[in-house]
Amino acid sequence: MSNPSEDNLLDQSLRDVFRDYDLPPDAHPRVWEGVAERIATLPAPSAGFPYRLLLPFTAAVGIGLGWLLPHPEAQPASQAAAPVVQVAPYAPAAVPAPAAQLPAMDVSAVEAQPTAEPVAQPQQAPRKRRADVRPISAAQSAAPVGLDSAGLAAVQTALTPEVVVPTETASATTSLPVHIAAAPQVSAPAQQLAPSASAKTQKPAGNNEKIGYRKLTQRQPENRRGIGRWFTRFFQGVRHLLS
Amino acid sequence: MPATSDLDDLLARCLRREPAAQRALYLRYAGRMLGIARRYAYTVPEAEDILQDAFVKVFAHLQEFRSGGTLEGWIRRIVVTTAISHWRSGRLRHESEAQPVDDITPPSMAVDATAFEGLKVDEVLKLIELLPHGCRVVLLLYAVDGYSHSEIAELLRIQESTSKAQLSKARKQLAELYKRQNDYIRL
Repeated sequence: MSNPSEDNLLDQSLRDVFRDYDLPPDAHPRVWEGVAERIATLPAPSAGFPYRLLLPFTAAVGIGLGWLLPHPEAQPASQAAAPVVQVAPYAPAAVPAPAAQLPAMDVSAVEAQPTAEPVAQPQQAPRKRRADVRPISAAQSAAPVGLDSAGLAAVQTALTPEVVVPTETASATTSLPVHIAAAPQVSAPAQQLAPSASAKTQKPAGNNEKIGYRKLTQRQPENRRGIGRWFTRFFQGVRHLLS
Repeated sequence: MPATSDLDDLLARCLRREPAAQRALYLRYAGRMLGIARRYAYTVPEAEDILQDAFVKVFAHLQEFRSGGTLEGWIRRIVVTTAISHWRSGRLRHESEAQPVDDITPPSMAVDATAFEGLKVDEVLKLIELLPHGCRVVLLLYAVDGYSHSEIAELLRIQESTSKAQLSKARKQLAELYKRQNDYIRL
């Protein structure tokens, strides 16, 4: 029996003996009764874990978690809490005389007007602030000439607080007719205008609202976390992979 | 092909837990599976217990069956595994274990390899039941059900060399038993 071929023949003869060996199940009815009783108590079959959805689900979770992580480009926007610094670059380097807003001006008077070169201030308001400058109406133009320099300076400061005129021009301005004195580029004496702090304090409330609005428009796309942003990133990634 | 479609339909109905389909599936395979269970058991009631547990497993895990193999082969493996677990748990009674067979068979007493072909199944079963249970299980797993030694070692949690030694011992003892039976019949 030690010969492998004989062992194989013995195994084959055993297989042949048991090949068609079966016992009729009808002769053992209690087996099925037990099986039926036990499978009736089995829990309902679950649908099983959808392995085909595992990869997309993992990708979606990864993208979502990645999106929830802080973004490096969002930090500068959060640091820019001081609105004044952000607003400053919008100011023009020099405020030209808004000639179009001038009322009917005498040419000779204009020539007589001293060339008051405006000095740009670093805290100048944005260009939109010039909408606050209202030209003096005709009735105001007809006002008497006898304005003292302090009153004139107060009016002009309210108009264009940023423009600084040398002191010697103030006296010349007082001799001008009223409609010229109301020109927006002519301002008060320099000592009445604080260089930067007064400009800050004299900013109208509307300016602050504008600054707040600008902050929102800059930060809004970065903070948007909607499904649109997710789809945009997803399709950008797909396009990148395809390319 | 119609048989395959019938089987697929039967499987689909069994997955929907239809009792009629489950009974039909049981009746389709119970006879052959009870024969397999009977080989590993010592009595028919033990084989019925094995069969019942095996079919409960079949219906509980039917959704895990893949059409890559045959359903009969899948059920057969479940029956064999269930029989092994019954044997491990001590639920199978080996009444003849107190009658040890001589381990050494003289070469002159070697039986013909085709000697079992003239015997009936019940006679071969009686001979096999006289073997020590470890040898018997290894012999049945290897020679009849076609398991490899590595599979047997994994199934029985033994070494592969142990499986080979048990198989060799089972063959020798089976030959000795057959010789003794023939001598007894001649007398």
